[in-house]
Amino acid sequence: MKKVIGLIAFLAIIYLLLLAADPGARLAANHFNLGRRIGLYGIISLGAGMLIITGGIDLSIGSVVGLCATLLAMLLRGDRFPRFPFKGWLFDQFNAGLDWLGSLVNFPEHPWAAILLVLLVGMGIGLMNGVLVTKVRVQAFVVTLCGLFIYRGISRFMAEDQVKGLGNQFGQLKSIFYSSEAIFGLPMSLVYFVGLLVLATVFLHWSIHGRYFFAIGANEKAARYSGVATDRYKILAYVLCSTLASFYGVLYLMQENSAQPSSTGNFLELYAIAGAVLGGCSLRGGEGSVGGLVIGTSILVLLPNLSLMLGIPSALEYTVIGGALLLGAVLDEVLRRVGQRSR
Amino acid sequence: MRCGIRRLGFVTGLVASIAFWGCSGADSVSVSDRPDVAFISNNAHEFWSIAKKGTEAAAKETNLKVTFLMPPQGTSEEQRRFIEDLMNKGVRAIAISPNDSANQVDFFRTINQRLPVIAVDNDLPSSEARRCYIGTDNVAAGRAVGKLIKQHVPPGSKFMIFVGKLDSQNAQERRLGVVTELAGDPDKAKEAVEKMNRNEYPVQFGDYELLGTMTDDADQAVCRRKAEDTLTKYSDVKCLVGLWAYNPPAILEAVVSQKKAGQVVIIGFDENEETLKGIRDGHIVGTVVQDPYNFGYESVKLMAALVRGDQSVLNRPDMNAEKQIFIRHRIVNKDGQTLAAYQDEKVEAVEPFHTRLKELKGQ
Repeated sequence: MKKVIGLIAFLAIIYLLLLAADPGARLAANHFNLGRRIGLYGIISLGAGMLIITGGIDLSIGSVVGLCATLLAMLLRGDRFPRFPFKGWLFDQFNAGLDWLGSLVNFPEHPWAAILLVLLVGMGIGLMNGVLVTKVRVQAFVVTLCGLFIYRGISRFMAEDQVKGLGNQFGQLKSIFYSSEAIFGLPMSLVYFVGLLVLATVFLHWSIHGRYFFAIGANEKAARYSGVATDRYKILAYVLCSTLASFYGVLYLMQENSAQPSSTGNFLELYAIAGAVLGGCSLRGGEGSVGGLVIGTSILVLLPNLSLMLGIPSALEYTVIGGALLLGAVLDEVLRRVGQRSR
Repeated sequence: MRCGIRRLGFVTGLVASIAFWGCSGADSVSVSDRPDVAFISNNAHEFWSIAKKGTEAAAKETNLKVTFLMPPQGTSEEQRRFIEDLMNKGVRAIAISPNDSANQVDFFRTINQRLPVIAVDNDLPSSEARRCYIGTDNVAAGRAVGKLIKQHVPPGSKFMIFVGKLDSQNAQERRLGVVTELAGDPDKAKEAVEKMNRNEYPVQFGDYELLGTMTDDADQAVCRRKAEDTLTKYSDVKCLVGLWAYNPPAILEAVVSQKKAGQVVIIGFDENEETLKGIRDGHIVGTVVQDPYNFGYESVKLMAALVRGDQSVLNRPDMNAEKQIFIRHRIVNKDGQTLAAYQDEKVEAVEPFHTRLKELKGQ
């Protein structure tokens, strides 16, 4: 708690500023929007945060989001997937496999199967990342940076560079994942986020498995020598991160109604990592908390809103956000030192 | 304890000082007799800074306050965020170049019920989603590019198209215009276009063979690299076409670096400084320009009328039955001469065009 006190103060400053900036900022509608955005960004920050706690990093989050949103849109539309433009036995088998998969389930009629498949794809990507990092021992930075390029390319190839939209179909799904306000009038993304937060808190802070996450991040060797199955836990962290990214892809598609294969999810990994690090996760691993993640994400969401409400030119928006974040980080550090001295 | 108090003082001081700054900012915004309207572009390219000048001029004439926003990443998600926040902030009308018009119809329909929405540059495919549309007829502008090819490239030649992203509507429309003009008519183009959409290159359009469409995710350096690779791979390519503003300069750099200047015809789109310089120097045969200044100017004029309850502007004589105002594109070439294949296109010489452009940009 001590660690996040500076952050809470910083969030409070931004929030007060926002309230003062414009009458429109005080409206319930604005708070609803902010809540929805915190829910959305929070979900990927949560995944990135848990991974960072184990000392890992995932740069492919944005591309995984793009891939999953595009894939889901195509499955729901019942689109035909392009064939690999190469000849040869292996590619023929692969193409035949695609046809077989396509004939297996009629996804437009069974949207839940499509969502499940997309989440499994996310899980599979995480598993692959995790195995490459732990078993093959390629640096996480390299593995996931390559993923960033690979999955973006696959989405574009798969969609043949076309935007994939849902039109006005799947109203029920959109309601469940986006538009419904049935639960205390809260935006759906926030509802999912809160649910995931509870699970993450139990897992990270109240279970032995969470202890292991922190132990691995702080000193992997020590953890391994004390009998922790470090590889397995690290793989788990990658799987969680990519699965949450694919879930974000589902929510994104339901909200935006379309996936743009070349840009959906671009730079999202940076927001996710920024949210986590700002919220007290150390990139060196072994530090961080669920509460901090929430605050970090909230700050990231509030700043652009504040910038617009203050009427700052949009060209300066990034500068304002970056400057404010830096100020926050400095403030956090200063408060911490002052706190230590007074003890 | 003493430090604790000092800390508290520091924080409250900071809050107070920033809050004060915030309040003073708020005061300056809430001038009441000037209605707030907003203009949202689809990305942060130079093109829109010319449109911004147009909005400023019209805002002065009509006594409006215009918030001009450019989404840095150019996604529909950012635009949605801007709109939500602007509505809470109390804007009374919005002009927007929607990034993913086909799939945002429902969203814009709900917005358009609450305040006037004007589609700029990219139309929304539903009359309920916007009051009217202002922009270029991109298929027609693409056909003008096709006419430039017909005029300057010998029949039987191979050419390549460069554009930022193909999942953007104007990119697809422009490319469709180019190949339709070369094929002769839309019916003849149809089959070839389908082949093109399936990536089965090369595709024959009339007397010309399209080698492919190169995308670069709106990155000029990537475009240049791909243009260089194209020149290396296809030694017989005769023409390179760039459909987004930064494409022609990137292509020109590539052609010069590969020592192919004079052997390859370059045709551009939009009015990038380097493109105009290339035309003046004779390296680029021509470019098709839009009129972003009037996108901005006309849309603010329309918003001014609509927020003051004047619906008659929606029956302006230059508006067609679908409530579209097409702002005419032009061909810019070296001497402003209308050549045989240009047919009924408007043509302008690069010098006077550039002079006027510089005035608009305040240079």
